[in-house]
Amino acid sequence: MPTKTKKKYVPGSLGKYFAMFVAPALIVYLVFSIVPFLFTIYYSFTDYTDMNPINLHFTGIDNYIKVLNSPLMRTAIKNSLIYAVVLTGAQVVLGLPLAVILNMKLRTRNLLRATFFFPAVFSSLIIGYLWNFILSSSNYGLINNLLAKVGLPTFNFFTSQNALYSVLLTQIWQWTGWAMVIFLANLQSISGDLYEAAEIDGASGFTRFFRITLPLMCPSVKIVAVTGLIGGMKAFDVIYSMTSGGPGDATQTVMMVMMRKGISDGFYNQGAAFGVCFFVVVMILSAIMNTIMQKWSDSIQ
Amino acid sequence: MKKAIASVLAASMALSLAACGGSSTATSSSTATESTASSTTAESTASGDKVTLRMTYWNSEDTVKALLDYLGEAVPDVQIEYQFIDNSNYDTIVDTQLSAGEGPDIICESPASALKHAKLGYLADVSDLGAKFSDAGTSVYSYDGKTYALPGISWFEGIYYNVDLFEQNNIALPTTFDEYLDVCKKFQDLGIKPLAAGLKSWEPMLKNSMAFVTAEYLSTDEGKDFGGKYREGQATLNGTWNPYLEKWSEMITSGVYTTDMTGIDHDQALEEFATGNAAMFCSGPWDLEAIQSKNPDLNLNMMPFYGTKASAGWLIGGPGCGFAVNENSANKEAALKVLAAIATEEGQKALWENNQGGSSYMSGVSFDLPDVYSSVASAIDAGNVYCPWNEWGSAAGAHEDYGTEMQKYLLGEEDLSTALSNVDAAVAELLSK
Amino acid sequence: MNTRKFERRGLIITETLMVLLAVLWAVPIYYLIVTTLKSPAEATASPLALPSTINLQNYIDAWQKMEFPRAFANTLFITAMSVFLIVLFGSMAGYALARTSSKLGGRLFLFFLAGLVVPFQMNIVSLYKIVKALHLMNSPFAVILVDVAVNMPQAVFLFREFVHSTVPVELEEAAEIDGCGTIQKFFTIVFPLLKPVMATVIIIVTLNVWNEFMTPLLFLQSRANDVILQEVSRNIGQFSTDWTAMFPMMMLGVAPLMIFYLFMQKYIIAGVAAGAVKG
Repeated sequence: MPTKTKKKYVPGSLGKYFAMFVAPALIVYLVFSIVPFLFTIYYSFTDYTDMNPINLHFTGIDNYIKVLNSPLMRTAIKNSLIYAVVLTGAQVVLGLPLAVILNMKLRTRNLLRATFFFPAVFSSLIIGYLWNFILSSSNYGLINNLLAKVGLPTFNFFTSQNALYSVLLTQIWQWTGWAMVIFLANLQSISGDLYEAAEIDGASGFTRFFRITLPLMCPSVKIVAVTGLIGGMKAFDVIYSMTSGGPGDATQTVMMVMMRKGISDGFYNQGAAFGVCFFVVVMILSAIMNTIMQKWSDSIQ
Repeated sequence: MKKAIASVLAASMALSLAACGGSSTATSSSTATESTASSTTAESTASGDKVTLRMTYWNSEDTVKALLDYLGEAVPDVQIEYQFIDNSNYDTIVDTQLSAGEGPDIICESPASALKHAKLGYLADVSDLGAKFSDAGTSVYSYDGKTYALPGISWFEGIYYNVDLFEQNNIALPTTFDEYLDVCKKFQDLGIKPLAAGLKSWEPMLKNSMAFVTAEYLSTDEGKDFGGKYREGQATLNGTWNPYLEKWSEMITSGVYTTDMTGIDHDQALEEFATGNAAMFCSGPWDLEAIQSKNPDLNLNMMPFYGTKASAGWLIGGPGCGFAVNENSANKEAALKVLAAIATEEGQKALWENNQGGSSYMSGVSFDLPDVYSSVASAIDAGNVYCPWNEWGSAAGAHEDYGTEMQKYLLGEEDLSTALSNVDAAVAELLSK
Repeated sequence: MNTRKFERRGLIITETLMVLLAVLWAVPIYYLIVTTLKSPAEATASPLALPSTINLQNYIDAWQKMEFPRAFANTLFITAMSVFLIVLFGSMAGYALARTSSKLGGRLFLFFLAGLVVPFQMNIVSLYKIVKALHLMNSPFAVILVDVAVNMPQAVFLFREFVHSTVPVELEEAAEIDGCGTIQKFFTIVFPLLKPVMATVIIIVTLNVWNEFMTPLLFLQSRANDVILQEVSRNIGQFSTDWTAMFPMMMLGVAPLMIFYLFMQKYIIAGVAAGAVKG
């Protein structure tokens, strides 16, 4: 017994090994992620452009003022928020029931799970070009071709009003299966006893879902919501390959504007200021999201 | 996959045993592999008698295949390593590399990037070789009286048309803008889409409208200095281009360009034209192969853009990619030797081989125009090939803004003067750098 | 008995509906695949029909043109090394952060999480300078290390949560009594227990690294070192794109991932479950 008291595990007892365990991850992360970001912060206060790459001067918060005053900013922020919220919402609202159903004893469930997940393995380059052909308003657009054949009027998916939602449609198609997999995983951690008890009480399928399943799904909803939100705000590749921000500025998002201004147009300084603003805003959004989720899980437990 | 996981586990176990004995073997062993890897790459570039030069370009290797083969023979002590970087990432990657004092030895440059890189001192002066080319070719690659890149084979964009559709319906080729609109009207009455256009992209309306402005204004005595003034911030589009674009807007009011076309991209428009569902399609030689592969039987030709007055017509185009040498290259001499080989009749011929249709800017070198472009021969002979934004200097990138603003104009989101003043604002900002 | 029957019928109806939905879901992928088996003219004429003859020529051309075995080997090496380093370093860090209650530990964890939000695209200019300074240019390790750094926050997060909620401290105590050192204890006792969450990390990182385009483009300059997506992008011209050549290449590039997922399916489910147990 004395040995046990002496060796009793205290949290944090990794002691001198703590540094050794954290160091490898930390070093790589510092060198290739944090240091470049610190440079980005530095550049955001200078006159660094592609025409002035060497002799940098301090310019105060000029770049931040330019970024906040840029007329495109408002459109971009609005679009990014719509994009992130709709995509995250759809992943939860569609992915969750899908997971519950595919958790039932269906004969083809493995095949079904794979089918719904597969879109997630494609790079956005493929997704963009593939869906361009499906949604096209030309005679060869699969959907419009079908509509025309059954005598319905064709539909332009890429007007100023529709374009953002058309991109979202493809992203919901791509990522619902991924959310489903995360929900499925959570579902399997819920003990079957709870359901049996409910069944004895005569609870119907719907009641069971709302009374038992949903509250216990809090952790996975949190993962999907937070990563969905951050991913949605960061969206760039797929929008680039589907609409390049157009028509006009209908699908400009924060990242699109940032890449255009900060990289293609060579205003590295403004791009950097953009990046810093983005970081701060998304951090705040994530924190808010996290607080809401925490409140939800606290209220359940 | 069980195996894969097992092997990852096993490998980590092996490391863990080692780690039990010493301190951080895991990290040090991985850095060891890194250094071997980088040293082998260094060796491979240095080994052999040949100098290896890296060349970057935004078109696939196929478009310069004959040139690379030719260079292999003409400059035997040089080995060219061709790096393809797609167009949308090209400037970013090359700028990043050059600003770090690295970068390719031979750089294919657009006029805008050549100007930028020349100003920053990244490019070697190639004025001697440039003297072999006509001013029309070298002017867009010159800065401060020196030439920094050798103009490639020219590119041009006109209007491909379906010869059979024109002949079957007894429709004559137009010679003015108004006749062109009449032709479109005739096709519309026949239930045939006159012009296939992928307006999801900002490019088609950019080129089409600028061709009209070129014919009406930029090519006239009054307008020929516009580009130079615009580049200096002494002129604006808004207030200058409006009357011409108002006239050009009949393309929209007569329903040739429709808002529905914003749902179509370039490739789908090409497909509409190739399958005979549209009578015309604006593009250049680079699409010929794709059109013919979709429909090998298509009988097509190309006509130029027209202004309101009768003329030989105009094409949007200019010198193709410029070949430049990195001033900071360790192999600058070898790279210059390669450029010297390009600046010969054989070199130009090899370059033309994969870019048929275009012409060489080298004095005394000319090539036959393939039959498929016979209807634009007179425009080319008249030298009516022009790319307005090539003259915009460091604001050339704003041509994309122009295209985007025209999309908004088409969609009725803003009027013409708002659209033009937005472009002016973007240009002013770019010029302020 | 009645309810049972009722339930079974319900299951059959549900299953039928789900199969229909799945068919709808799969149409875009089906379209992608049949297009790759047709000639350009046939693909244009009848986009959704099954190919009249199975035309594997497109795939043979793609295989040769993109030098598939080499590009595949490069991609595989980069992906495998990245995954390996992330699993190893991420689990070590996650474990240490889960077993500390110090303020520093908590702050470090938040510091890692901030990495999820860093806009990677804005960093490329300075990233390039760092890679150059480390003499890693044109080395697959430049891509590997950057990919490891970008994906590390997520991995540390998942590992830390998993260790925190499911790996019992008692087990470690027992090992300590047996006189096992901290390092040995981690690799022989804790590490094997992390298998489920490891599966999740492996699949997430594999998808991310395999489909990463910007990093290889920036750092891998010679064709001998390039990855699948770089080969695919060669079909994108300045003005037009060669789709008939591109689609089969895309399929060849993504097929390994599909197969990988099919094998990993049961581990993923178990693994994400583990990661999600306590958010």
